[in-house]
Amino acid sequence: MSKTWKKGLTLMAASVMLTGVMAGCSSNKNGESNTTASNNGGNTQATNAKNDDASTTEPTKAPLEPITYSMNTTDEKLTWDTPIQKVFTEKTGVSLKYDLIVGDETQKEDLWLASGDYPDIMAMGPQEIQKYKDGGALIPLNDLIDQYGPNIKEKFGEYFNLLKDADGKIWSIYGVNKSREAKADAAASFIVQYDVLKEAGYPEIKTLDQLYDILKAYKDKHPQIDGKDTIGFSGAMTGWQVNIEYNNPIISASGLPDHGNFRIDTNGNVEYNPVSEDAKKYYGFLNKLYQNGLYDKEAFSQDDLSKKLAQGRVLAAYAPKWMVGDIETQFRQDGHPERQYAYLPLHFTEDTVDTSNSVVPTFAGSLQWAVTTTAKNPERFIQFVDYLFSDEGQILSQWGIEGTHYEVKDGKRTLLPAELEARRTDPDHANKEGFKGNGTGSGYWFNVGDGAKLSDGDYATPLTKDYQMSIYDDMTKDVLSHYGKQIWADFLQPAEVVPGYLWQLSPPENISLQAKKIEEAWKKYLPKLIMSKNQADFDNSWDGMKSTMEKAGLKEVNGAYTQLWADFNTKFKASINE
Amino acid sequence: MLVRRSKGDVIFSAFNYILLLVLGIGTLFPFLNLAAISLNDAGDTLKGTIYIWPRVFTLENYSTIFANHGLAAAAIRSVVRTVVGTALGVICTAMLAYALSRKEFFLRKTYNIILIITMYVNGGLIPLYLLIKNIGLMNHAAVYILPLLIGVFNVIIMRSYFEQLPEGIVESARIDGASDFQILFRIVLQISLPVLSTITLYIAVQHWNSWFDNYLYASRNENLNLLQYELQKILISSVNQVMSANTHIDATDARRTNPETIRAAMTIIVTLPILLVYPFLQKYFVKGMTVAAMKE
Amino acid sequence: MAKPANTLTNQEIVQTAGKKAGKSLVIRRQYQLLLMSTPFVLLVMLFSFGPLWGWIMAFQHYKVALGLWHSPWTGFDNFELLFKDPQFFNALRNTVVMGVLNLVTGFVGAIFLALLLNEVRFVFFKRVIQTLTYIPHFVSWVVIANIFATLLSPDGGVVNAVLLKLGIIHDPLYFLGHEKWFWWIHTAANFWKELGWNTIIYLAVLVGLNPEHYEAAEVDGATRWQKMRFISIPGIMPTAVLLLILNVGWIVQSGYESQFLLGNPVVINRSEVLDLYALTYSTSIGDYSYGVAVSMFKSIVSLVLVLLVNYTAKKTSGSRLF
Repeated sequence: MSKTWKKGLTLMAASVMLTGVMAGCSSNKNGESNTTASNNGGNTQATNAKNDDASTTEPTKAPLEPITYSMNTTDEKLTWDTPIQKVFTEKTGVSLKYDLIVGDETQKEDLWLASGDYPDIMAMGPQEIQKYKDGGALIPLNDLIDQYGPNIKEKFGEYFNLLKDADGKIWSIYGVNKSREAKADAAASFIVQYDVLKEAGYPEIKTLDQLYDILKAYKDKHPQIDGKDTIGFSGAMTGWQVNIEYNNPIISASGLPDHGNFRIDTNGNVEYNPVSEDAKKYYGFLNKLYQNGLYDKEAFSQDDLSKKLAQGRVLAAYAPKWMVGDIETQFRQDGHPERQYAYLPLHFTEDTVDTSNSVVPTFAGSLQWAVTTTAKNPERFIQFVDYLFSDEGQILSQWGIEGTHYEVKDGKRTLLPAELEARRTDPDHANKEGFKGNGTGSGYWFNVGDGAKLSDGDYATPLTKDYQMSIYDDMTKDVLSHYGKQIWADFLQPAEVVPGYLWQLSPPENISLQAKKIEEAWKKYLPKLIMSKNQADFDNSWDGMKSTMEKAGLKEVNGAYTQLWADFNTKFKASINE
Repeated sequence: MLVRRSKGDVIFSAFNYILLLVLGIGTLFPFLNLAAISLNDAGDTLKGTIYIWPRVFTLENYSTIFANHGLAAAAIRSVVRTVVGTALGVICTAMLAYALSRKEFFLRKTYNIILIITMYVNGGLIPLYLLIKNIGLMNHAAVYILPLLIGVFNVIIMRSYFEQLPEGIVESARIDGASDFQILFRIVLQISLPVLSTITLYIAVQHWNSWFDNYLYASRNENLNLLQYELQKILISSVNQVMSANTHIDATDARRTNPETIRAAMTIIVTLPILLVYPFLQKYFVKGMTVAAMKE
Repeated sequence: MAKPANTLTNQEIVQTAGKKAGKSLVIRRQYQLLLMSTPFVLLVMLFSFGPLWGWIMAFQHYKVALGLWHSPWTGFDNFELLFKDPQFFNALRNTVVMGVLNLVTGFVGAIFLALLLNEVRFVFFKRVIQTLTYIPHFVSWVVIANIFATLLSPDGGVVNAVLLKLGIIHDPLYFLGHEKWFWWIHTAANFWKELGWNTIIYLAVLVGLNPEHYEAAEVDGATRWQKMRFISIPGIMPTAVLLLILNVGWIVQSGYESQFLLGNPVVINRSEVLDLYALTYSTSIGDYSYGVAVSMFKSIVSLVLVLLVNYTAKKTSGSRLF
């Protein structure tokens, strides 16, 4: 018996990390993806009248009778006891009671499903939604949305049919991205220390080879920083960061949109990215760094790159902004602003066409809301969601309460100075005020995308270029000015609209074991590749990795994903034209 | 009593003391390391290489933890659970161990074999979860006690200790008309204090450290939340904070903790009570031991 | 306290009773023992055997959504897959090797430390050291692995710094990046973490030994070594053998936390143990059945090992588990 318990404990230890995987991946992906150029706010066709209609003349029976739904969450700080949630309840009568999961999410969701003991509302990824659906735990939402969700339909517009599963039923609901404008806090993920750029005279660097040259020059000149060896380039191969460090940069450097560990060619063929030709190029680059003493010796046994970055002696790396933010704050506080990082898009060659900056129409993928069979009066819940989709609900959930959080100046919503200050200094502010909910995509509640506009012509969320510039320090502004830019997002190419990302879809089921074997083979060969002593050694490891993966079923896996992608696109086209 | 000290004895003693001292310092290191990290600034800790002294002193990690409202109540519950669970556990373990140590007990062999088997088989988490649910333990305080009531490992240790006791003690008591219960509680346990203290420690530590049962079977009943669970929540929220750092326009200037410093402070908070309590427990038991020996 | 010659021992009562009056008399005589044991045995059985229906999953392609009744049957497919996978045998090898290393070092270390502590006359010192040595037991593997990574770092770690200073090496060593060293590093970490904790039980037994034996030996002029050799060691032997038997059964059930946290992709061939293997290829991809197959395999191996060791112990030392 004690064995079982011990096992539970150990499982938990890993799940802290697993929680990290989920959160990490989604913020990473969102950070990279939600950027657009052309403002296409025009498809927000709805008139004010229609909106008023939706939010005031709520249907049939008295909606304000209080009702509480239970819902899963992993955010310990979510509560319903906040100013904004109070208004939610006033308007809809609905309250949420959170059922906290502090351990392995999937495990608890499986246990709930197995025992029929799930909360009324479940926020889950597509794979779990599928599981719950198969287990008969969910109710389809088509009729309910038809009847009680005018704002949902209005906001989704032409993409409404995307909500439907292959069986034509809607099993979950998530945010829709109305933004076709660059997200102001987006940034490329190759990072280079300001001081390195400064010493090199702020050169335009576009390729990995150019990066190599300035790193080499800097390290030759400064073999040590603060008495410890200078590290040219770092990484973290242990744990979940392996994907960020050894898959994503390949995608970025080839200028492709982020489909997780896969890449999709123009014909729609899906290929496992870590064995692509570009991967070979990138590992060759890392091998060159390693052979020349520029690669972090410890990268192979590190599980958290940010710890190394925090030491201030890593010149460059591949690191999404969320991983670096805290560290840069610390550098500034320590009086070393020159150790902060520039976020630059780097490629294999100068003429690489960068289509990595992409926008998807919906926020499917990370947390989709599903209504389970235990929910009483599900129509009340749909009314609540519909309220969140209404313009009034959007403003309330993204901007807050007028006079408390924001004011309307010159016809434009602006956050109050006190609110800005609070956001800057209190990490729990968003929780305390009620901005945070079970995020359904990139932001709070069912946001419609940073940079999107509501029917009143004003921005749906407060994240703007001006705001972003206002939080930069002087040196950052200076570095940017040498490149003629104002914010890091300016380095990115205009965004393209893609139907979706592969990782937003529920992965094909029957190849999960093969996929896992391939992934493990990749991790096993990675250190061998990077630590290769010479070209022959490298080629040998590469061939070894490739043949191991092929034996494990690479073809099957690629095939299954190609099929998945094709099916999704067919559905996408059909639903747009329907 | 006369203690003769040969030269070899003295050398041995010196060597022994030095070796143990080195060992003690070596095992104290992680504790000092954690203490230092728990008292160090979160941002600074990221840079690593803190050994046994904080570089940028702060109490922020502890105040973040103690700012949690439910913490005091949870700590009290943890103490209650540990005391009740341990008391019941030790008594029940002793009874079962005693019965199994009696050579005349006709089910001795059968029970022994059954218990040994239970130690090495495991049906998995899902069936166990369903079992807990079906017997109505879900979100009930008993879920903290019943599944942990008997640790077979502990039973076997205790059984073997009982078996080593001089048989005559039990026999003569029986002749005096004592029942098995009387023999166990009045005689056997009195002369088994060393092993009793060990088993007490084992069981107490298990109760004190356990939070997975709280998380899995009792998380929906707020009145059952324990210290370890509350701490785990704080840790997770610290992890979440790092992950959500730039998902929106919340600036991160304000971050005062990170998972590493929180984990360090947590470990100190939950470990200190055990480290402080056990020596007293031991002292008490050893004293009881000597008294019992003299009575004999 | 000699046994009065004119009374029967319980053993004898049982034997006579068994012959003369059958079971009912035995039950009546031993009802107290029954009361002390039966409810608890049933309780343990409930929580241990109760969930064993889960083993059925190993013969299915179990899906949570479908439950046990509706999941498709696959016969022995999962076991076939398992026994055809070279990686499984690699994981088994790693589990056994690290399990044995832990067992041997832990066993010897704990006894050794207990004997040394037992020789300390200065009670305060003894208690302090004992308390200090079991501190690492309470520190989670996450922290321990972190401490080891820091100490062993090729980039400013203390161990390398010392070795460099002493001139033993000229370039820092990447301890955690050498496949061949992993087993030893893992064993060292485990040894250090559990040494003090493992000692507790032996110390308790030593304290419980009859002080008269020591006094008598003292009077006979026995040396310290002789006392240890003829009183202390035989005193803890039964407990030691018992623990050895119990732990042999757990060799294949190592958990995965320590290996997972100390390991990395460079050493995965040596660090992947059965539980880690099951986690990777079963739980993490939602295929519970495969993990249950691994779990069944482990249970059976455990039981066989325990039986074998128990049998051997009975033959050689007279100590046994049952």
